[in-house]
Amino acid sequence: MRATFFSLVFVMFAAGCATAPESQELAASIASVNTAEKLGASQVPEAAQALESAKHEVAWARALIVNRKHGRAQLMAERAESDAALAIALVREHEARRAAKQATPPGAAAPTH
Amino acid sequence: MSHHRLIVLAALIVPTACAHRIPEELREARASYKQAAADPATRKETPAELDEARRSLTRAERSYVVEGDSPKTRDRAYIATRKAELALVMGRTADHVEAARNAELWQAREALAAEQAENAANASQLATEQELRAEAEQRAALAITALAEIAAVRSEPRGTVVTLSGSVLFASGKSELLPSATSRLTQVAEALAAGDPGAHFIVEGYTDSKGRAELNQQLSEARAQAVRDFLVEHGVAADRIEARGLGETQPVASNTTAEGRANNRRVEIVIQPPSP
Repeated sequence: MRATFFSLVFVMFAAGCATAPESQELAASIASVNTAEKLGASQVPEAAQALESAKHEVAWARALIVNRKHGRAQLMAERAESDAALAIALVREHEARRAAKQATPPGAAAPTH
Repeated sequence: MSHHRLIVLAALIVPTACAHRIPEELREARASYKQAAADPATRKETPAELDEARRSLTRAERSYVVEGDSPKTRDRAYIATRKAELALVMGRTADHVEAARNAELWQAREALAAEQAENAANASQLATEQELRAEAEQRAALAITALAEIAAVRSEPRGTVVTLSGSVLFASGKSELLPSATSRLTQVAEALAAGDPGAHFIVEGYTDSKGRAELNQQLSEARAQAVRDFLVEHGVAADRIEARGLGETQPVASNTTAEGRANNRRVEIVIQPPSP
C-alpha cells in the first residue's frame, strides 16, 4: 500500500517533469544561458551577476508555466534571454578590453585615430 | 458626513494615488536608454541594438499607460534596461577591439619606422666610408704621382715600390745620408705623409755583391734604418714605417758591370695600401 503510494507519486512527478511545457522563448533563453556559462561568464565578475539573474529567471519562468501563467512566463523567459545576452556581451567586452591592454605597450599610448 | 471624516478619507485615498507612481524598473529603463543613446560609441557601433532598446522601452512605456504598475510592466521595463545595457556594452567592446587593432597597427608602424631609420643610418655610414676611402685613394694617387717626379716608381703585387739610387743617398761604404740626399728625401717624406693615411711603408736596403755578404747585410740594414729615421723625422708616423736590410740577396742588375752594381746599390720604399 505504502509502496504503491510512493510509486504513484514518483510517476506523477516524472510525468510532471517530462510534460512541463517549455515555450520556444524559454528554450531559447536556456540555450543562451548555456552559451554564457560555456564562455565562462561565472568567472568574469561583471558577467556573473547577469548570468545568475538569467538562471533565476529561467527557474521562475518554469514555475510560472507550471502555474499556467503563460503571459508572465513568456515575459520572464524574455528577461532571462536579455540577462543571458548581457552576460555574453560582458564576457566579450572583458576579453576585448584585456586584448586591447595587451596590445598597447605600457607607457605608450596608441594614437586615438 | 462631517468634514473630519472627509479629511480622514482623503488621507487614505491620496497615498493610494501617490503609490500609483512610476515603477523603479521603468525609471531605470529610461535612464539606461538615455545613457546608451547619448554614448557616441554605442550610436556608432551598435545602432541596431540601440534601436532594439528603444523599442523595448516604448513597449514598457505603453504597458505602463495601459496596465499601470503591473508585474508585466516591470518585466518589460527590466527587459528594456537590459537591452540598453547590452547596446552600451557592445559599443564599448567594439571600441576595445578597435583600440587593440590600432595598437597593433601603431606598433607595426613603429617597427617599420625604426627599421627604415636603421637602414638610412647604415646607408649614410656606408656612404661616408666610401667617401673617405675614395678620398684616401685619391690622396695616394697624388702622392705617387709626386714621388714619380723624384724617383723611379713601379707597381708590384706587394705595393707601389719607390727606388732611390744608393749613390745619391750615401757615400761608398757609409750609412750616413749625404747632405745632397736630404732635399729629395724630404720630398719623399712629404709625399708619403700626404698619401693614403692607411698605408704602411717598408724601407728596404740593398747592396751590390762586392765585399763580404755579412758586411753588405749590415750596411743595407744601417742604410735602410737611416732612411727610415729621416722619413720619421720629416713627418711620417713611426708606427707606419719599418726598415730592413736585404744585403746583396736581390740584385736588379748584373753585378759584373759597374753600371749593374750601381743599380743594385739602392733603397726601395714599398708603399702597402691598407688591407680592405
